[in-house]
Amino acid sequence: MRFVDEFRDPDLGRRLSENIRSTVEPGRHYKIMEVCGGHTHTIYRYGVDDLLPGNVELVHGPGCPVCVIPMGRVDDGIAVAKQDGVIFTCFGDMMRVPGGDGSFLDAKAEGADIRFVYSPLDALKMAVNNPDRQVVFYAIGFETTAPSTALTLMRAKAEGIKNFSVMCNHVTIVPPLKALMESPDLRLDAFIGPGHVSTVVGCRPYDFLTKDYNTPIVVAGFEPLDLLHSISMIMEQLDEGRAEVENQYGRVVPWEGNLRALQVLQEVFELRPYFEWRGLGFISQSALKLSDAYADFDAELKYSTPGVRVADPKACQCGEVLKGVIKPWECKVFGTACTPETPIGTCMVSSEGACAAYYNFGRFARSKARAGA
Amino acid sequence: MSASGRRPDVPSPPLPTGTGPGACDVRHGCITCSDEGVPMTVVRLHDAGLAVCEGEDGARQDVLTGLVPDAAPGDRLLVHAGTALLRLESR
Repeated sequence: MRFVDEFRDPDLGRRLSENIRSTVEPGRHYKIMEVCGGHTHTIYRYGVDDLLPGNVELVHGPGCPVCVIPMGRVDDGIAVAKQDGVIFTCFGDMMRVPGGDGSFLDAKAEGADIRFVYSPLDALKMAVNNPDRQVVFYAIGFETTAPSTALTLMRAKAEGIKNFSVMCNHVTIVPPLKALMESPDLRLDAFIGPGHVSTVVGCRPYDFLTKDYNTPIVVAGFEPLDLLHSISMIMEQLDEGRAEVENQYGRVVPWEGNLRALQVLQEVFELRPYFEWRGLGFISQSALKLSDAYADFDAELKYSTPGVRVADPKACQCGEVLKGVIKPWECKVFGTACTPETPIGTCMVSSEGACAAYYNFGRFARSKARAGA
Repeated sequence: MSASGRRPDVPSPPLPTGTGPGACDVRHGCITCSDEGVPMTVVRLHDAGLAVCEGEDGARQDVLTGLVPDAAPGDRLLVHAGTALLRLESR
């Protein structure tokens, strides 16, 4: 299969692994953060980190859109879903994210009409097919997903559909990277840049990392060899004392991004002054809301919501995991009180979440190793 | 567990099959709400901005093509959350 088989070749993987080893400086500990949840998934699924030298550590960042939704926003969604006549829609991963008073799945069990969809367009079709109901789409995701919501809203407006609205939780990629670089408890040597976010925003928005923080970033694809190649490119930069933005995923990511997508985003959305991120707290200008031109489709203007900030459960350490301060298995409740079936924290809910990815693909290996030891 | 926090070097276990209701497929990752896209081929155009596309597994779905306005049948598109983000090379 094009774009897949070529990037899972074991021989090439071994060569890249050897190349990485040849650039490693003994005695130095390298911390490289993969921002994107899709990369985290690939790393755990294929054991990419097993091919790296012991002193090259991959740190899992806040790139899973589900994992960064704070509990209060889930409660806000449930409040809208419980309104009379509402069909509330969201992506599948959001269904089990715990809020302060249960999840969407719990609210559905209590009688709220909550359905999961594969795209905002599916939610819009639901509105067309149910003209006597109000259909609300709970939008999440980075710049990869936001154009889909934007195009759907443009279509709804053009077709004059009145019973469709969006509760917007779209976030942007650059502000959390800045927040991470400013975080006092985290020192990173480099970033593996998000692949498909960059198809929209391009590579230029990452310039600040090299200019302001002297930190390299390599935008990477999602196959195991993509990740090994990008790590190899990062190690070469560090070895040569360079800090540049490089694009390993050139077969898909244009350097300038998708200008039409950026225009669409600008028409439909505007930046929120601030937004709460799970684990990172409030970050200014880090999320999107509907622009005035689309105010009629804004669920937050249509319905009242509690809008209350809810603190994470004390036992949950998603915040530290999302900042890469601890590994998933170092959380006190990992794999015991918190599992994919009964998640306490968001990182265990989504298959892109670091905890769920490690739970599904890595925990058995650890158990075996401990038993062997 | 090593002090460096790295995983021990042992083989991967058999893959699990799922994580409960509403969850995405853990084998392939979440294709709807993560930031990954999937390649799909345009089968036919519906109207301006909408096309029927087919995935590698043969499944078909409606896809918004507003970001790739000149998409035509046979084109390979990178699709995410029901929207084509860009055109990949044609077969």
